[in-house]
Amino acid sequence: MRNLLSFLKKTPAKPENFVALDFGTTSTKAFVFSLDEKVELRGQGRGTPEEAVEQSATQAGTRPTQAVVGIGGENVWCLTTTVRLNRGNPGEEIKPEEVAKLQQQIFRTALIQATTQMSQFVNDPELTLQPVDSENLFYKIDGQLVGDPLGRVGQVLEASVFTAHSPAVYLQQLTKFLKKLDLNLWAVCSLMSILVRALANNEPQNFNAIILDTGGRVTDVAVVFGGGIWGTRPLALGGENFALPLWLSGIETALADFEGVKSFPNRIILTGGGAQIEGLKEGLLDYPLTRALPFSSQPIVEVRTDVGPQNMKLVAEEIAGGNNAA
Amino acid sequence: MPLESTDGLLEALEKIRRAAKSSAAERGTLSLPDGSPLLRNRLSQKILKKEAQKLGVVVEGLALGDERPPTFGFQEGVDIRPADQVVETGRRIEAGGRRLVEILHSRGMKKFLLFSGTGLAGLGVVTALLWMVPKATVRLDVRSESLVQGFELVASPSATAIDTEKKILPAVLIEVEEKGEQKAEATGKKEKGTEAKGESTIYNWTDDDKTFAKETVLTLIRVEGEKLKFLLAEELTVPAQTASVSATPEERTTTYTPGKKTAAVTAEKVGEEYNLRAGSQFSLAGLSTDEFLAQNSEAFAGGKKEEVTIVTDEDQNRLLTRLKEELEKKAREDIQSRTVGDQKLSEEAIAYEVLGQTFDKEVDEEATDFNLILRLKGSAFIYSQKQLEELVAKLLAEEVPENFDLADKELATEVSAAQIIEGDDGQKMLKIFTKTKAAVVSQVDQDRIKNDLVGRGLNSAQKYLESIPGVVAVEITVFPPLPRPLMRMPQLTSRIDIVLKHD
Repeated sequence: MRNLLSFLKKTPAKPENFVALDFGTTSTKAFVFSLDEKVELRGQGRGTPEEAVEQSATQAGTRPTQAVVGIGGENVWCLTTTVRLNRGNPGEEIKPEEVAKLQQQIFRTALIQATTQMSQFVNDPELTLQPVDSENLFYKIDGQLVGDPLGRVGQVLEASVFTAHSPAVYLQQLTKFLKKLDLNLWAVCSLMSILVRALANNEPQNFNAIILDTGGRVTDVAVVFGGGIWGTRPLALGGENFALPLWLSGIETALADFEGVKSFPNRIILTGGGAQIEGLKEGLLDYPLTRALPFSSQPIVEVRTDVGPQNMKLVAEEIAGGNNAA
Repeated sequence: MPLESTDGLLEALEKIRRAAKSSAAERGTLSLPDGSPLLRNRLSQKILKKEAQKLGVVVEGLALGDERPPTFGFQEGVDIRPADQVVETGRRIEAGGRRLVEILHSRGMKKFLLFSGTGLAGLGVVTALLWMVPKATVRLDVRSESLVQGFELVASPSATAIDTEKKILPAVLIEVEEKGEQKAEATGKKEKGTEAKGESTIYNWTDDDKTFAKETVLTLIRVEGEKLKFLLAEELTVPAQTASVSATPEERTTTYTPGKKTAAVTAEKVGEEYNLRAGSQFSLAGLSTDEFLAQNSEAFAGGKKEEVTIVTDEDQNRLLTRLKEELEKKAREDIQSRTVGDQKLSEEAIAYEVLGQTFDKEVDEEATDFNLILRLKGSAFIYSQKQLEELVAKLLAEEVPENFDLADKELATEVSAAQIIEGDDGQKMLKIFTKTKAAVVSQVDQDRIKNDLVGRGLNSAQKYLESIPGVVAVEITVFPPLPRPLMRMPQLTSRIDIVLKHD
């Protein structure tokens, strides 16, 4: 279950439609979705933020006032946090209060970790983060995967949650910018988590991969284990003024920055506008990643151009479903 | 090597390449201006260093980030003849007498007197009879007023006679001592038993150590029913929760383990309901169970309860009141039996003093019945009713209003209250509050009335008598009975009797 933190709480009513925005480094992509019985794409646009919104609104025949913004690159820090509680009362059934306490511990831990990691990465000791997106990945009781822990008994309750945090300053700027576009910020989601969901094909537990989402100036590098984003790194090299050797070297440096990973997944997926750059896949296949990085074997490389910000429909469906439920 | 604030990774690398070609420098310092995107991306800095190294240039001056520490009122209306008129009447009689002697000493008169002497003597006899024989009785009903007066008297054992000035009359102190015993049923109920005891483990889910004082309350968490409470046997400190991080090839896990400590607890009250099964959970001192929770691993035991009958404070007071009333009655009768003659006992003035009371069971002591032994002393002053009335009569006489007299009726004196007091010398006395009812009648000056009535016709006498203040009814009887117009009041005051009547 996805939780788009903070923002949904401020939006009690479900709008009829909304525009999903991906502010790329070189161009903005806008997708207008209607929120009737099911979520449907009504229009899309590309260009400057104003152009993209107007194009998508014109095509949809309606201009939404609510926006869902997918963020990536240097504006979001994704990580998966696993917390384990040694229960003092293993014979008692797990109650909602206990799960709530576990979640509280997870979010506290995640915020500390994200703040520590991102402040070091961007060299800003005063960095203040705000949680924007989260998703429960799994619950385990005494090491066994369970769908819902409520009512069960056991000594150790464990949960793994994906979280995305953004700098509070960025979110304030984003809200102000959207006001200029006559839009209200309805929700924020991580673009990388959308890609992971789209690529996992409803089997997240078996989805292990390295995702390289190459945009105009930034390539987002994500390491995914069991459908959970272990971490992301924004590599400031994209398809614009592309230099393959430098990019490959940059990918190697980015992967080396994921400290603690003992064995990377042997599957690399290329997405984004830059995925189709000629020679990219081949160059990656030929690059000796195994030389300095912990790969068990040379990874396979896939190019997936069918996934992207348009997949924010997935998030829209969950937001609409969650809001209906509310 | 200066960089522009807009230079990204590519631009910086290009400048390094150019610098490397244009000079043989192997070592260079890269100055990153404020706002440079390179400063906000550790990866970019790493790549920059790495690529420069490939060009044989060592880049210095790059900041790769530091560890960040986690953070609330008679009128005088008498028919008095003026004094000068009384004197004038006397003078006229004296002058008349002198002329009569002169006539009697004349010759003509001597004969006349000789012949008429007998007639005059007979007339004198008749006249004398007219003076001497008539007699009148005047009955006057005079108004009476009721006079009620209260007096505060003192009956003192040290007095031997009544003292009007000090309002004291003699008294005798009588003291009697009574002893009695009575039994009564106890009505109180009390739960008796033992408290359940056991051990409970306290879990601390916070980041700080927590100290719980001795007798901190643990409350059983339950949806319905009484929130049973237990108390910590002693003070203890429960350590904070611990967190440990472990990393495996595929995940990094933070494990939180609550701090815990086992403590001995005792039920707040007695009873079997406190014998809780193992696994029962408790909140502590009203703190959130999300932070502090206690649970017993083994069942609590030893709690039991039974209801017993006990003596209550109310039971003792009830029995004491009952026995005290009984002994007071007995003391009263004993004192009364010691009075003789007209000695009077004021029940209100009997003082009772409990000399001792002994209950064989204490309050709260378990018993079905209990016994009380009570010793009581009754003290009273008795005095002579006659002396009391005598003193009151004297005092009352001083209270009769001007122009009124105390009627010849018996005084009605009653003692409204009495209390034993202590004099300045410490001697006990009886202070008596009396209320005396008497009748006072208007004063009637009988001598003056008789003088004023002499020779008056009946009507005149009637009117005169009725005009006297305080007289409400007049009845005149004259002897010998003659027709009313001929009847007059006697000429001699001694032949007039006045009889006063009042209600």
